[in-house]
Amino acid sequence: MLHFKNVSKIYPGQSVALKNVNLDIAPGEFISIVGQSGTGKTTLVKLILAEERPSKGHISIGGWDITNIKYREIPTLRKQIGVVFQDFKLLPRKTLFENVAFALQVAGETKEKILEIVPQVLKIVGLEQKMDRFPNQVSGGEQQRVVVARSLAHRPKILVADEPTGNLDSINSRDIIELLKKINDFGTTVLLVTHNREVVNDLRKRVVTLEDGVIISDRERGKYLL
Amino acid sequence: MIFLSLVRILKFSFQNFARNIWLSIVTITIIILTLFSVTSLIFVNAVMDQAIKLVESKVDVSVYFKTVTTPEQIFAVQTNIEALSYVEDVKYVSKSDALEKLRQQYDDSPLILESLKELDNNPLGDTLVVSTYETEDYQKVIDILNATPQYAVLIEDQNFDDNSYVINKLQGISAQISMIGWGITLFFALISIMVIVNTIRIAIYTHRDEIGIMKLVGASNWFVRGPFIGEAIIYAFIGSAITFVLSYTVANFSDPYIVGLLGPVDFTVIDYLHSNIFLIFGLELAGIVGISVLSTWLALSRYLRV
Repeated sequence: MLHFKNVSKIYPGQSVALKNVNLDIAPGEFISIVGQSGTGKTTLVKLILAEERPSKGHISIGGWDITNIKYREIPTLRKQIGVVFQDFKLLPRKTLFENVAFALQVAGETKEKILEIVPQVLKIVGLEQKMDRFPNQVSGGEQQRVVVARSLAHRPKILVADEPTGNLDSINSRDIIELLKKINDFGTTVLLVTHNREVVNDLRKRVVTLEDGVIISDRERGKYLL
Repeated sequence: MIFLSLVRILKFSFQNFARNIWLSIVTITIIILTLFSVTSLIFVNAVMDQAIKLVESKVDVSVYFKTVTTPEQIFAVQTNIEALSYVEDVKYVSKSDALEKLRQQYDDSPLILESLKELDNNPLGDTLVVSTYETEDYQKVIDILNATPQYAVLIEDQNFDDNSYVINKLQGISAQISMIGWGITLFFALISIMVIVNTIRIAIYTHRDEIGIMKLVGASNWFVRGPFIGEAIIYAFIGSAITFVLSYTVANFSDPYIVGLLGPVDFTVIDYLHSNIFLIFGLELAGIVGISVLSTWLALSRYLRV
């Protein structure tokens, strides 16, 4: 599903974010990328979303080599990836319903399809009763659940969650992780980037540990090492 | 697909406009102030032009003929002057008409009227009053009259020397006022463009995170740009419409004062507005739509590289 082959990312000023990273993620897998701040986790996410280009190596997603992806092809790539961020990233001028619908609208889904899918995904995250509210009218945990709903709406092949529990308390964090597990159970590949030890240890799934931009550990049923 | 996207972009434009109503009101207010200032300056320039035309229309050249000159000789001169392309009108005033006019003019001055009665003969000669289209052509008429010997012997006097100073001054003032007026209009328009561009830049800046989110969700540049450009067009149309109503009201209100200022002339601001409606408001609308769309486009480009 996702392949990194000898990928390095060097920012101007010789700042090395990732160094010779080799990573293969199979379809339907749940993988956690862990590491301390500044170890290259977010750079990895940015490379997957084509926000950044690798300095060396190759990246492919679902057989599509995105190493030198053309600028105009980026929207097509992003429509195939669900993304959950630490700071939620909801559109403030749209209701919860409209936020989820937006991901479908950019993909060109019909109105009928949107009216069918959005309530379904909002139901999955338990927010069907609050769909007419604006983001600032719900809690942080609820906002993050809307983001998960949005990332699910267009049935992505892969879901990338970058520190999804970073701004949440332990109860909300557990809810979000449960949601991600549920999504993974439906067959979606989930890539979780986190430095939350408790979350990683409870999952008992594959764990890749990054240190100074290098993979120092890749274990099938891993634990948080650092 | 394209139609569906266009419909959605249009819907988002109106939705964003309504949901950000205070920012919309501020932007529209700036547009109204800009357009109204430019329209007002156009009005002022039109009134100034009219005032200058009014004064210019009062200027003419009177050619006084000797009392011995026969009407036939004068008519021959009249025909020749009328044939000149730059001459608008040549009026013949007979000596008796001139005397009658003089009497009417000094109707309230018994001393002058008594003096006129004392005279046995009419002391005045026949006169030709010459008007040209352009004030600078009066000198040409005078030159022809002076340079032609058969005319010169018939003419007693002409009062162009008195008028030439006024005419020259008027031409200078007219050209300067027109230049200053349009200069101020242009200067103001440039300041206004800068204000509008910056207002839109600030509006886009406040939505920079939103733009980034849209891009990360997979929206194409067009899908992100569309609603913002739609919003800019809505601002421009509403701003122009309100300016139109405001200008109309001000024109209506100021017309009595303009008539009082210029006197009985065939000019009102409303008439001017009517006859130039498409030129003034059409150009203003096109200009403001162009500026708004262009500044939105440029301001957005900065945040679309996500």
